[in-house]
This record gives sequence, structure tokens and C-alpha cells, in this order.
Amino acid sequence: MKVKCLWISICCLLVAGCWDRTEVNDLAIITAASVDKAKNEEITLSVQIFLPRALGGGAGGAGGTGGGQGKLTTMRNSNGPNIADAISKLQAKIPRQIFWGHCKVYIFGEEIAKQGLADHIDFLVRHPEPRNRAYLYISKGEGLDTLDITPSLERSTAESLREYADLHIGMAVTLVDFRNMLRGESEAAAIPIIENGKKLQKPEDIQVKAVMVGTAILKRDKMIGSLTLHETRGLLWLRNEMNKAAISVQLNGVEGIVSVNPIRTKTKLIPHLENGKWSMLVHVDTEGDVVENGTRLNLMKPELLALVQNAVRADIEARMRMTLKVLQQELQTDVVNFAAAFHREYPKEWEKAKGQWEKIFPQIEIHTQINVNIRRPGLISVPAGVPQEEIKNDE
Amino acid sequence: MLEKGKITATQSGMILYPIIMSTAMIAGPSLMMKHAMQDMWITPIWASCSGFLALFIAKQLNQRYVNMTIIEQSQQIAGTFWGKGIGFFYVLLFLQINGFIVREYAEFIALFLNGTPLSIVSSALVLVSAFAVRGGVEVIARSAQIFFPFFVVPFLIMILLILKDLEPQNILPILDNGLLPTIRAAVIPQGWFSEVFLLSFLLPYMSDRTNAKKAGVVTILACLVTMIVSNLITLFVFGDVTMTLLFPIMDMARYISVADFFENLESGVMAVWVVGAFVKVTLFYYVTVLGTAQWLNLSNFRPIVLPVGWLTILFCFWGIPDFSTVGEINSFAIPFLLMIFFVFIPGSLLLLSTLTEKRNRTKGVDTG
Repeated sequence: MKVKCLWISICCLLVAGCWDRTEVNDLAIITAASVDKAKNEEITLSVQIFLPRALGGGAGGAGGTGGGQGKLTTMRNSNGPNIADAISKLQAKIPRQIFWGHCKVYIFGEEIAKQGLADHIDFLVRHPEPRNRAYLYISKGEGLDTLDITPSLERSTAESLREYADLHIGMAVTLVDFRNMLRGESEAAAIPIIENGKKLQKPEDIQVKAVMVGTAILKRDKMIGSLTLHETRGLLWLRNEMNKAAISVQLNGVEGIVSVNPIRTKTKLIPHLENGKWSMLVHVDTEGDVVENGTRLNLMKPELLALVQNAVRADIEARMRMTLKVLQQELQTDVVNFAAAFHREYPKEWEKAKGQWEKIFPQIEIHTQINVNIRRPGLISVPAGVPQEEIKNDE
Repeated sequence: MLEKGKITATQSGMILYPIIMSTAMIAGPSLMMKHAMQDMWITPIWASCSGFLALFIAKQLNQRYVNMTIIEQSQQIAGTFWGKGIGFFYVLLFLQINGFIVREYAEFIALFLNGTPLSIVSSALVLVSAFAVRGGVEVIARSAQIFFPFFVVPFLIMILLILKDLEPQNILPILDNGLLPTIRAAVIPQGWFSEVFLLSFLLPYMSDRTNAKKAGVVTILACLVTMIVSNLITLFVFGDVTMTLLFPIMDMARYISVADFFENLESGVMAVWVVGAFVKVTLFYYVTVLGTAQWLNLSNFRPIVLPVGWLTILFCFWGIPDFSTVGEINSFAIPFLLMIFFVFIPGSLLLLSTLTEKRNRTKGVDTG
């Protein structure tokens, strides 16, 4: 009996796993981090730390809406030759143990992105705490300015950036996506760009300025250029990542604008290689609803609806071609990942061509095949606010 | 007989499945991808051949020498002197492999509990296993049976949760570099499959030995399917990057995110892995203890349980200074050791026993 008790107590001590226990109130929970270029080949690591007291104090003290006004996060930063070194210096400024497990957003300054991100990504994927699904952003100017903003709708800028990513307005790139892109066939990557935090400090700026401003294009891990928000939409179509958009088209010889909201879209890249001539068929299938009809056309008529479908088709094609022109001619970077499509379809030819992909990519001929189906006109049939006699039932 | 417990064929399958899969689940996909690239899902098919071979050999040996383990069988077939020699190397191998498995487990746990000394992590596991081993084969079988759902169900749930993030086009182009790389990649997983040979230590205590073959085949097929699925899924999520990941399945669990709150499931994978490692370490531990007792002709194996456990902990540190060495041993030493001891030597013994039997029979015809 005594021996049994001894065994049980030894087991309790060893198997319970209390050795590495961490108390929540010993942790400094980081919600977002940014890496910027500093002087002398160093980097500045800035972290946004969640302040649990602000949340509790707000509810218990003033109560109601008054409590919500205080900042829920604070920002600290530190310099060092790399992230790991900067963290150890940063730890000297924070009384609690730094914890990366809840960091959902990493922001890189524009300057450091031009220098290369590979070194910094290594820390994030090697360390067991940072999350695979954390989102990456490149900030105009310096990333640390964004961390200091107090957003009005969300608890922190980290939370709002994460929500933006979930909305898929621009690209949404996680750590895993970026790692896959860096090792992909095309050796090109894209990361969304956010507005310079300095320009978003004042409330009146936030009211008018968009946060997402485009997409950074990286060759290997170095930023070489960017797409505007408009061009980013084309990229989303090409990469099969489009899921929310309003396409507004003007019909030939008709006054007013019709807007269509695609509900489901699917883009397929079909490569073709003949006699050393590389071409790519971009096949898009999309279906959607009419959300606004500013014309006098009755869209319940199939032939009029076909007109709108044709216009939408032309619009999607124009968007994709505009983006591809920038990618092929100006930036010469294959972020659409045509390379992977060719590798899959023509493995042998790809093996020979992969060394000269940078020369081949700009010369790829693009064909498109776009199917647009407008399924429903919304809640009303004929345009609202137009007298019955002015409504056109044919062209 | 040293062991008086009885187990069923189904239970033996439930022991063998975690034994093969717990190693395969930790680093399998990336090890196989090193050679086979995006065709790595074909590799387990080749690898499973060694499993079937080992199963056949174990079953045949058992039919010839009922109620004997390989330690006793080798003495019957090769004579006492050579048989004892072979038995000694078997016991040494089990000790070595078990020490290595404990180390692999401890390294994985230490990645997260990085403040806990390795010796504590490994001795805790060995201690728990020691209790099971002292209980004998029946206790091991029952605990494996209890833990079996905890090992399988979380993996299935994980697959369901990751489904929406899969990119199946990563599988293309199929057989880019031909079949040869997929066969080369099978060198490592064939070692895991050949561990089915441990059935040699379970067959003598099986109450329904007629079902043993079926249970073994089902186990190997189940492992085959699980390995193909886990290879495909990691390929679909991470593509070529899988190769660089040390713990691909765990990384996949880390990537799961459903409805913004169902995420960070790596602790789940860790728990599953602890269960698998427990069954694996316990069986290897048991086999070492039973083998040693049979080799030394002891009347009871219980007194040597703790000393062997102590040795196992020592073997988990001897000659393994760091994780890169663990990786080297895992890809260069273990597969060949397992192939030699679980397929080649038993196969030769089986051949030898068939030949002597035939010779004796022909002799009998000659004289009589």
C-alpha cells in the first residue's frame, strides 16, 4: 500500500506537466507586430500589446459607452540586427513575458520589403508560437505607425486588419501562403499594401481614406513594385480569389449604369504550348445578381439581360488584361503563377524552360473565355423611379 | 511460460496501428517528399510491401514453432549457440530503437514545453509504460484498445476541418520524374511497416490465432490508407514546402481555422501523439523485457522491467546530442536496422527451417 501511494504521488508530480506552466497574467499578449528598416543595417521591431486592464477597467468603472474610449493596446519598439535580437531587447521594456500566440498580423515597412523579407519570415515560421494563419501586410511608410492607431470599430488595428483580410477586398496572404509563394515555381509573391499609418492618425483622415491601397509585387522576397487597388481586382480575378465585388458597366448606346454583384466565381488557367509558343487561356465562370439598375431597361427581358452579360464579360476581360499588362510588361513578375500551371501541364518542357521563365513570362499570349450568368434581378423587375411608359422592353 | 495473459487478434491490430502510425504521423510526409516530391502519396504503397512480408514471415514462423517468440524460435532453428547470438542482437536492437523512439517523442514535446528538461519528459513516459509492461500483454492490449479511438478520431476530425483549405492541383504533374523516386522514398516508411513483425511477440498469447492474419492485413491496409491520406493532405495544404517542415501534420493542425474561433489545434495533435507514443514505447519496452527474460531463461520478467526502463532512458541520450542527429538516424540508420531485423533475419530463419525440414523429410524417404 505504501509503495502504491509512493508511485501514485511520483506519477502525479511527473505526469501533470506543470513544469512549463505559464500564467495568463505573466504574459504580454502581442496582437500585431511590424518590422521596419532602421539605421546601420538594423531593423526596428514594434509590437502592439493588448492591455487587459483597459478592457476590465472600462466595464467596471465608467460603464457603458464611456469605458470604451480608452486605448486597449499599447505599442513598444526596439532595434536590433534581426527579429530575435530585437525581441530580447524589447523584453527589457516589457515587464511580462512576450507571447506571440495571438499575433494575427505582421506588417512590414516599405523600405524593408524592398530589401528582402526572407530573413524575417524565417523567424516567424521557425518559432513555435507565431501562427501559421497570421496575415502579412506591407505598409506604406513605416509599419509601426499603424500599430499606434486606435480604430473606432474594432479593439485594435490588428483586429481590423484581420477583418479586412477576411472580407477579401484585396489580397489576403497568410504566413503559409507567403511561404508557399516564395518556394513556388514562379518565385514571385504578392502581399497587400496598407496606407501609411501617419496619414490615418486623425479621425477625419480615417473617415475618407481607405486602409487597403493595393498589392505589393515581390520578386523572390524583394518588393519591386505595386498594383493599385483597381489593378488588384484584376489580380484577384486571375488568381481565383475574387469573391466580393460590384461590377458596374455602361451599356452601348444606353444611358445609365448597371451594377452586378458576382456571387460565385471560378477562374481556371489552361496553359497551351505549341511549337515553342506559350499561351494561356484564362477561363472564368461567374454568376451573380443585379444590384443596381440606373438605366431604363427592363432586365426581366432575356435579350436585355444578355446585353448586360456581354458588357460585364467585356469589363472582366478588360480588368484582367489591364493587370496582366502591368505584370507582364512593367513588373515582369508572375504573381498569377502561370509557371505552376505550365509545370503541371507540360512537366518536360517546363524543366527546360524554368531557367528562362523571366524571359518567357512577358511573351505569353493571353486568351480569355468568360462565362457570365446573371441569375436574378434582385427584388424588383423594372427600374424603380422611372415612369412606366419610359421603360424600354427592347433595344 | 513467462506470460500468462491472453489477447485477441483485434487487440493486436489496435496495438500495431498506433505503432506504425505514431512515427509516420510526426515526420512521415516530409521524409517521403524529400525524394518523391509531389508523387509522395504513391510511396506508402511500395513501403507497405515490407509490412506484408514481415506479417507473412511472423505468421509462418509461428505456425512452425507455436507459442514461441523470435528469441526462442531462433534458438530452435539455428541451434542454441547461434540462436543465443541472434537473440542478443534482437534485445539490443529493441533497446536501441525504443530509446530512439523515446527521444523522438521527447524532442517533439520539448518543442512546446521548452523549459522542461528532456530527462523528465522521457522518464515520465517510460515510467507510465513501465506500469503497463509490468501488467503484462493483457494490460498493454487493453490500454491500446481504450486509447485507439483517441488516436484515430482526432485525426479524422482534423481532416474534416482542413478540407476547405485544400488545393488539390498541387498533386500535378503526376510522375514528373518517373516511378523511381517514389520507390527510393519508400526506404524510410518500409521500416515503419516492417514493425508489424512485432506480432511475433503477440501471436503466442493470442486466443484466436486464426484471425491473426486478417487482423494484420487490415492493420497494414489501414496504415497504408492513413499514410496516403496524410501525405495527400499535407501536399494539398503546403505544396512543395512540406519538404522543409519537421512536423508537417502538426503544422497542418496549426493552420486549421474554422469560423474564427476553432483554431490552434496543435495541442490536440500533441495529445494524440502522446497516446500513440505511449502504445509504441510500451510495446517495444515489453518486447525488450520479454525478450531479455526469454534469452536469460528467467522464470519471471517483472523484476527486470525497471532496470530495462532505466537503460531505455540512457539509450535515449547516448549518442544523440541534438535534433539533427535524430533526423540523420531516422533516415539512415533506423530503416535499415528495421529491415534487417524484422524482414531479413526472420526471413532467413524461415528459409533455413524450411530447408532443414525438407532435408529431414527427404532423408526419411531415403532410409524408409
